[in-house]
Amino acid sequence: MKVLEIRNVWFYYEDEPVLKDISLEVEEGELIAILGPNGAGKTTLLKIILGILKPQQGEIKIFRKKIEELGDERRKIGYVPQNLVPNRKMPIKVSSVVLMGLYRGILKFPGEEDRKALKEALEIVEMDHMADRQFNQLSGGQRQRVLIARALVSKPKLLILDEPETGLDPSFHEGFFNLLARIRKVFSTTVLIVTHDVTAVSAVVDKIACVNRELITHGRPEEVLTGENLECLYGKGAAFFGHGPAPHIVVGKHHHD
Amino acid sequence: MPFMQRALLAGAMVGVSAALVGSFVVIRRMTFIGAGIAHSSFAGVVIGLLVGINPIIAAMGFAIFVGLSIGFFAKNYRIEEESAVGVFFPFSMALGILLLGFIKGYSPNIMGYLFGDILLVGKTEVSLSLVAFILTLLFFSILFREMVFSAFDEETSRVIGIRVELVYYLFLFLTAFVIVVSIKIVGIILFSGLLVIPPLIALMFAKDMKGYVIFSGIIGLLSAVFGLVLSYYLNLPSGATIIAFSFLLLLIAAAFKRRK
Repeated sequence: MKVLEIRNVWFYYEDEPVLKDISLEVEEGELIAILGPNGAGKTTLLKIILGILKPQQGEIKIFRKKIEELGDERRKIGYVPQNLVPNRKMPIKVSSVVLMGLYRGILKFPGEEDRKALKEALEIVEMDHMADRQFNQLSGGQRQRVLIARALVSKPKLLILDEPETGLDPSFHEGFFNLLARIRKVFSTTVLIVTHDVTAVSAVVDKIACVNRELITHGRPEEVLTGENLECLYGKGAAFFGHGPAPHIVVGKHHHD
Repeated sequence: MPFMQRALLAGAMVGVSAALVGSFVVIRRMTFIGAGIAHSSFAGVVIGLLVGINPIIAAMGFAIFVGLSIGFFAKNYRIEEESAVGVFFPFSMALGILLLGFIKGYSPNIMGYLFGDILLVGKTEVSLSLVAFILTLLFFSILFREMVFSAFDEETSRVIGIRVELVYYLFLFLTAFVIVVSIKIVGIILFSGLLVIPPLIALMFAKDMKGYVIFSGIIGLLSAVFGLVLSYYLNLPSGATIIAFSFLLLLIAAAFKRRK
């Protein structure tokens, strides 16, 4: 089953096209990474998928429905935003942040099941001992893990992460992409991740989509990560090579003609 | 009911309501909006005096209009909330001053509206305070989580299906309502103290959002009641005494909770 269908999506900021004619399909259970340079429109694409932004042309379907027709199925989408700058003064507990992922509507309060799910989600990101701590007193990496737990707590069918590795402490970072692979297995979740970490992600993903305002290519990592595509994404001279267990990208110098 | 009892009753309800609303005004960094809406009600008061309707009712209409306009401009144009306030605040004061010239004869009450005067608190004000109090309690019992979530992470709140805009406009409406009801007790100019000081005290001690909001409400209640009692016995202006008293509480709290 197709979990996500993006069809001929165009998006403009003012008159400037940020995304041009993007079409992409994601099958159930796939782990797909979106790569591209800064300003390529990756975050914009995620916001369109999530229904936060509306494209001027084209259509998005999630679970075979338009986003506005999703209803309760909305809760089956987990989202980890990029660089959430917390309101530093807000005394909100870690547990409250995670329970946000189980929101069902006005006056529908969390029950016993939800508390169990909360505990499980915090265990997955190794933060269960900090449920009663205040979110704004955590380190950047710990906060990021809590936000991942918030996205996981509803056992989502589609998990969307926008550069989740930003700010993760090195000890957790290493295992993070393995964690993604594990989540996918345990919950049979479809995962869509925007990342800069080509090295780590190429070891676990099924597919890679290269976006630079338009969809340059998409397919299996070994098909996609060719010199030609990488040049298009990261400039002339970029190359992809493997040595040891993980492949690397070398970003070349930009040539100005 | 003697005037002091009326004032205490209205003051207590308004003190709690303002502090509860203020707890989110502070968290969402909307302090200037509070001050702006309060000042904009000045034009409403003058319009009321001019055309002969209850100034508080006129002020309420005007303040709600300004509150929602600020929200509208901030959400739909490339204008920051505080810039929108920076426009409506002086415009409403200017409009009030201009219209004041058209009121024939002396208007003795105007100072009471600016700085609060418990002698102005009548039956209508007590009833309006009760309405504000009930509306505030209802709002927070129903939409507390929605307020917390959208203050914490607006984008994800949208994704999980919270109608962020609706909650925001309802909150602005409630804020404007509470402000206007408070005018006769603390006054247009002094109101933001009642809105901001209790939450700031609560914020120093709160461990979670629920505790923060409840504690803020308690401080608001204490400030209003003790401020009014002091003003009665010491024969001082009510609004100024309430604000001075809550400022004193803030100083004491700050001394207890000295931070780096």
